[in-house]
Amino acid sequence: MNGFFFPLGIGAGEIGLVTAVLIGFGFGFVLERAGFGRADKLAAQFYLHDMTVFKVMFTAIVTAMLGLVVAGELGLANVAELSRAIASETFLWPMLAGGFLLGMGFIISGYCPGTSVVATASGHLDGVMTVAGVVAGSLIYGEIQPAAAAFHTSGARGSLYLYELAGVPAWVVALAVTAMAIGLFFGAEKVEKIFRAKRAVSAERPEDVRAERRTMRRAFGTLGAAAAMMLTAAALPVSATTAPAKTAEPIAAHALAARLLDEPWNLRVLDVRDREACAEARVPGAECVPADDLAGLGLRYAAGARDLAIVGGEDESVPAEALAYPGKVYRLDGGFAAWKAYALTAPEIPEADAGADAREDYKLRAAIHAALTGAAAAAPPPAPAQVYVPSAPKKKAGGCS
Amino acid sequence: MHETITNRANPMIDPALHIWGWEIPVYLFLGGLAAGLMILSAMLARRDGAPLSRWARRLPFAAPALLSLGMLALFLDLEHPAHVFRFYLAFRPASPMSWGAWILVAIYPASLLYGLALLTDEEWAPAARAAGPFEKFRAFAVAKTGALAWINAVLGIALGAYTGVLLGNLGARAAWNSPVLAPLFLVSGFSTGAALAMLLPLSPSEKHLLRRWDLAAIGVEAALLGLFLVGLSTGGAATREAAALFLGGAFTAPFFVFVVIAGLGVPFVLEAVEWRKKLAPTLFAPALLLAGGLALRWVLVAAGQA
Repeated sequence: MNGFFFPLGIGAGEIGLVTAVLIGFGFGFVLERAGFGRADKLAAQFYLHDMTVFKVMFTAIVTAMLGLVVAGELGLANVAELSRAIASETFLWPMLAGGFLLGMGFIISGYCPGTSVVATASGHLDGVMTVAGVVAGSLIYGEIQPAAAAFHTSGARGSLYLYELAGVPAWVVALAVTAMAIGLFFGAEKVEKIFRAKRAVSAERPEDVRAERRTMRRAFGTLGAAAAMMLTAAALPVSATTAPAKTAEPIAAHALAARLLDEPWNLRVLDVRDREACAEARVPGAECVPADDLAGLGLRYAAGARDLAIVGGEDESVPAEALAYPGKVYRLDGGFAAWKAYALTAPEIPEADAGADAREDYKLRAAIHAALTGAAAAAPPPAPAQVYVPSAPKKKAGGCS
Repeated sequence: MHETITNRANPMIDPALHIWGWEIPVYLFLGGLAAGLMILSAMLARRDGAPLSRWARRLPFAAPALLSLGMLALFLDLEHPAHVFRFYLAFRPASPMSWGAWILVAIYPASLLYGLALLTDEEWAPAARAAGPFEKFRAFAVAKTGALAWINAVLGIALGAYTGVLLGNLGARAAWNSPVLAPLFLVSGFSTGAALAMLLPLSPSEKHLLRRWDLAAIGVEAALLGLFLVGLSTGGAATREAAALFLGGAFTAPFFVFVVIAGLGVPFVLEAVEWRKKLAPTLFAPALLLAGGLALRWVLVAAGQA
């Protein structure tokens, strides 16, 4: 059921994406019809004489929130799980900087990212330029992001939710926000009336200008106070709810050998020992990438379709860069020494009376050893001859006795 | 007994199934676009009523220009570009590639002559002084305008269908192996051709006509897409697996998002609303149609190699 409310989440997959695009076109159409493809309409929000943007956006937020909370209370959706999947975790400093930049872009262009797409669809050239700016900015940040990785994750606060901070059920917060919305809608109507009247009156009368400035100061003061409160709340030390740290699963040398022989295309092997040791001898197909160079592979951005096996030396720890790989991560149990002992050392010929399992195991190991070293393997000893055990002679019974 | 296969870890041992990159879908798209424009320019000229507008008279020249771009992409894909002349040393009636090679060369004289024929005398006058021997070509084209229109329409249909036949007759690729691909690519080429023409400053009556034709083409294209999926999902195990790529598999989102919703559904609704409410055609629906036409080829070429 979550798939329906979860168009972009993990698990909904392809159908979820299709649902999201359908909703997106519908949303875009409604925004366009509401006039949100025009910068002057959007900018009017900042001059407070047309609060349509505020009313539409807040209505959308409240509607989505109420739908989600009601569905959660009815057991149709898991609100906490959905929130975690949809909303980003809090990273204080990058969010502050990003929010500031976004706001500047919003003021300069007159569009936010979504409405710039709407404006493009309406055929407004400024909308097209804004979309180009969004794309260029994303590209530039993507390119410098590796260099600014420390900043990118600075001020991590984990997932913060109002209802968790307040320690109340989600529906209480939902009701409070709805009540606030209703109050603000009436307020917005009032503000609109005041500022429309001010616009109508010529600005030559100084008392009006002063009054307008007073109102502006009040409005921006309120906004600033609200922002300060939110900042204080965000800066509070909160136990960050982060996902449990990923660990690498150990894989024994024989299991690794079996996987390498059966399906080498599903496994990527990275040898993180120093280059000289790796160049000398390595697991077949392994890439020699010393632990310090792992970041260059960009494992955290890989698709993660193949499993990753890390071959280390004596130190069995797996570098964090490898653990960031989205797919499954194995570490070779015992490091390269274990591989050497298993695959590069000739196996001992089993005793003649060894069981069938031991003989099969020998044949596999001998084949691996021969394939990897080129050494001919001794054939296993012949199976013990079947000893003829005559069955007990039938009791002879006399025909007539 | 254990069989030890070590050579499969070597590169290029497992067959590479994905050998066609961006070049082929781009060629198929531009070829379809050129085909659509050839058919459309013939249809526009043969309709009754007002003479052609300035840009409509130049439409025939767009076909060879787009086709040349597409053939450049095709040329980049060739493993041995120097061997391309061999296509023109033989004609093999059983080979779609051979048909295509000859159709492609026939298009250039046909569309260029037709373009010359549609130019007015005033438009031709500045070129006439420099043209010299080309003056004779134009005189010939003007005399045979009707026949050239027919030849352009027929060659356009041949080009549009051939791009589909090219993929459709490859039995080894289950997702392509459908006779529906030929009409599908033809109709999609017609629709994208109309979309491109609607981006040009044509006269209102021409745009109105193009929009009506385009609406019909989108409807037919949607029906053919449905038939294509039905055909795949009712075939053998291999084709059913190919259908699953679009119906829940790895290509579901790109196919439905870019081809069905953004490439057909939304522009159809927009054009229908514009038509019903008698609004002037906008650029948004044609832009979506063009992107959808490219996406159709891209997704199909990629899915066939999955």
